[in-house]
Amino acid sequence: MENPSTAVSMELTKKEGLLERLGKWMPLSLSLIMPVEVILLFLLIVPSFISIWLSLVSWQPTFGIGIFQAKFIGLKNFIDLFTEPRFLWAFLRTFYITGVTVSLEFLIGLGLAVLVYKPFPGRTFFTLILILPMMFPPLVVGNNFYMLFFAEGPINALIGYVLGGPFKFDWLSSPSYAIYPIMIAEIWQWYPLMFLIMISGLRGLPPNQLRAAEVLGGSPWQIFWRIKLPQLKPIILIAIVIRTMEIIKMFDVVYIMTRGGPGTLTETISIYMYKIGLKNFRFSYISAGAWIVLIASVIIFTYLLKPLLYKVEKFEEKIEEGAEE
Amino acid sequence: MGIKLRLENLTKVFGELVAVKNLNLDILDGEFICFLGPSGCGKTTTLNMLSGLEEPTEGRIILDAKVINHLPARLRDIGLIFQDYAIFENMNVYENLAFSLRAKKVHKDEIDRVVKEEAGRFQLTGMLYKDTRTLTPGDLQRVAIGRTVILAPSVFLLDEPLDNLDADMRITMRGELKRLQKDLGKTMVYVTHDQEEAMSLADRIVIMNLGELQQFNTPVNIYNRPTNKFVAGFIGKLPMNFIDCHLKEEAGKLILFDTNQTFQLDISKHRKRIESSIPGKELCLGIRPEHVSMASVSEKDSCEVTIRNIEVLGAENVVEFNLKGESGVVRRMTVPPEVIPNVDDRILIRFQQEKIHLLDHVKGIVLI
Amino acid sequence: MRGTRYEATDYVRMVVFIIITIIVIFPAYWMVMTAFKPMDEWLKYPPVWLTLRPTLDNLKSILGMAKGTIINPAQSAAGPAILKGLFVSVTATFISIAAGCMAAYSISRYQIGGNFLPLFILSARMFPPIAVILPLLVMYTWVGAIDSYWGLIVAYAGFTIPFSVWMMKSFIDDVPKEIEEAAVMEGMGNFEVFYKVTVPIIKTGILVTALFVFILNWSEFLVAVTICYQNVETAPIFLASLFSAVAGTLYGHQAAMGLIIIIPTVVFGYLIQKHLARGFTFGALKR
Repeated sequence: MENPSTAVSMELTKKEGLLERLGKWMPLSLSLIMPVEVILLFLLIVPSFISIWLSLVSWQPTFGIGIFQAKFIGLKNFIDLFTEPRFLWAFLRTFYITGVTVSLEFLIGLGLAVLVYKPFPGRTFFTLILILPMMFPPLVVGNNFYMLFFAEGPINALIGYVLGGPFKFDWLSSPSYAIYPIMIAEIWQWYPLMFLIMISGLRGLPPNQLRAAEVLGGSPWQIFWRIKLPQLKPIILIAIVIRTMEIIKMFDVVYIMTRGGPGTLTETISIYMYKIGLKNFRFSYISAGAWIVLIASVIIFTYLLKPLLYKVEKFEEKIEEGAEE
Repeated sequence: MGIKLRLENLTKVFGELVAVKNLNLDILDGEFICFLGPSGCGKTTTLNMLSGLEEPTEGRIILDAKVINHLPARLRDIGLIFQDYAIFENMNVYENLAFSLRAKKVHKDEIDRVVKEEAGRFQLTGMLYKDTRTLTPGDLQRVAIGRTVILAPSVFLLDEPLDNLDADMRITMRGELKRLQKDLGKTMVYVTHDQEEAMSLADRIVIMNLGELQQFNTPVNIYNRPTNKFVAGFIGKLPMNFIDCHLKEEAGKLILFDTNQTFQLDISKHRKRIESSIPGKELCLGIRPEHVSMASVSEKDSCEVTIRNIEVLGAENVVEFNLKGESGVVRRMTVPPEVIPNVDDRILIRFQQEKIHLLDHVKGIVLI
Repeated sequence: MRGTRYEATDYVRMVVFIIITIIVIFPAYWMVMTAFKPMDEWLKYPPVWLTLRPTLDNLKSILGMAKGTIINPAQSAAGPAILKGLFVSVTATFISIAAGCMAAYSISRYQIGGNFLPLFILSARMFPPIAVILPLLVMYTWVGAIDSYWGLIVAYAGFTIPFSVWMMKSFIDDVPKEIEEAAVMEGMGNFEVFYKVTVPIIKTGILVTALFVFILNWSEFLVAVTICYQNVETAPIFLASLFSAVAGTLYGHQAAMGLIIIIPTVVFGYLIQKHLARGFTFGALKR
């Protein structure tokens, strides 16, 4: 014989699992996010503080003392960095590579997306193949292009065919030209991402607006510049920001292809910091460097990217006026 | 007035679905034509073929005596106003209006002049530089119409343009559209599923159902002389009443009576018409609610009905009733506003003889 | 495709794409070809475009099953590196997904942290790895996590959390709240709703995110090579070790290893290719 009230109270207690009891002193929303918070705390917040501390003291693991016993030197590390040509060059080089690579990836991605927009025989097949490079780990891509640009390798052989004679240029040891195979490798690997994003963007455009433009007399060219591209701006912006964010950190490809060489002529920020930080053990110095890079990235995004978009608008208008004449 | 637009055997097939079947029409210059029909009847597809956004599977479209089938949309002298207006969201009102002129590479100053002029006509002057994403549907619609007017095509196509507006805006805009068409003097083809709209706007109505043309005539003629059951039932604020009935010969007269023998109508005067059309056995009496009136006992063709429901609408009342022995069917009549019978009352009614339609049930053709 | 009619320009585009595809595929083709070339063809000039003597020796050599004469400079063979890499990647993925899923739910349904927290999580990706690695090294030495499996696993989990959270948040956002509300009205506790109702609905999304994160972990190089120097070796580390002045240019071996490394990434990549744009843009773009 069961007392109804006990049955009910048993029901209620059944639902109180472990997490519900946890929920008594912490709302569920917080407890769910706890693991991520903990992980980020240890992997991001604490290291950040340590990094700030390191950047303001003089410390290397070879000093033999704990980091909190290191001598406080204020901004000296930062000043040293700003006067270190190798660092500045690495800095500039990285942003140069970033600018060129992202722009080309974007143009290629957009161009391909436009070409793929209307159906043609084999479209699905080609689209699938064209995104292949993105599936390769950067290290393998670097390795691959290292082999391709080998002095007696296939790329040179092809150039040789075109030029009519043997072409045995050692790209990766060349002071002026080593940077190009690196850029080509990056572009090869990441243009598919831009391609996919642009396809997604184009498909997301409101079809009736495009039809209306047709009926109102717009040519495909006009419709592209005056309606499609402007409406794609937000997506383009996302794509470029995200791509830039990742490529500033590029390491694998350069490491495998040139290790930053010849000498230091293809050193990117990451390579420089890796060498000085982990080979020369100048932890403090490099910590400061990392902060400079971070701040510079933020500044670039806020002050360069927006004006860039404005320039793109002006550029578009010029193109249309040109087309009208 | 010559023929502006001719549709010849126009057909559109999507895989298994025949969206438009063998449409043949002549539209005269300056006419206001409505394509009317329920969803899926093919009216929007036809519009798309006319504008050039869809290619016909078969048939020809002839504008001003020139075949335009293979011309792309932008080369046709036709404008289209979309149901959702399709205003370019990345441009302001001015740029939307100017679009067709810029496409034609008209000079900047000329564009400015024309846009400002037309903006005045549509009361858009105050918001010329506004972001189009902040506009109300009413404003958006005027921009949509305005930019098409600036395009200055010789035929305007409109795809249910009033559908997105509230009821009162709809009625206002109806009048404005009619006035606009008269001002411009251009041919307009207007697609809608709202029969009242079509009746009030059109010079002639094209009624379509399931891809086929049902009737093409003036509103008055369609109302008074529907050619088939679909048209008869579709047109009219309240649906037409359809009563199954039969014919018999009695004392030299042709008598129409319903299954339960609640009424008998002498339709001898229509004998010629009926005999020449060879009707089937299944007949149907069609009478509009507005043509059913209260009757007195003395009238021969009266019949008794039971009241099921009354709707008091203010300007008139709608009475739902059943004939004797009927159930599950709704019949309607309209009565003056003072008349408010009670439910389950029995009253006498008669059908106004001149307004009776006789339909062949099977073939759906109207005989009277 | 049934009913599609192609015009002349369409065929022109097809030809253009054939050319483009050949150019794009070429590097991949070269790597695959090299992986199966016998040693004497690796550095030959003019290059051997299509080997007529394909061999599995390269693969066998790096997997430690060499028949003989090739000097493998790396102390370890690829096999252990592959297994260790798998172990680390899978575990880290699991942690990242589990934690990320819960966090994503919290952010999506409870808007925890408002605008700040989600962006903060995202900003974790903006730090150059070096910025995080140096302090991490310091921290790890304190706890003895250098060159340890758990050290690497935790690091990988942390670095992929932004992707996990944002990707899964975009999947959770797509689930209508009404379903959860209905479950609550049936008497389910909130956490029950999460793992009994929401999680099953976004099963595919979770799988997609997991594969995505796995690819990132499996391919990762810098952190691995920094934190580990001997004991823990992942597949990319092994590949890098094949570059050694001692042995010369072991192109065939490198290509073979590259081939092994890309197998999971290409396979998984194509499985989730519809969602790649969503993943790389942190859920901002859904196809």
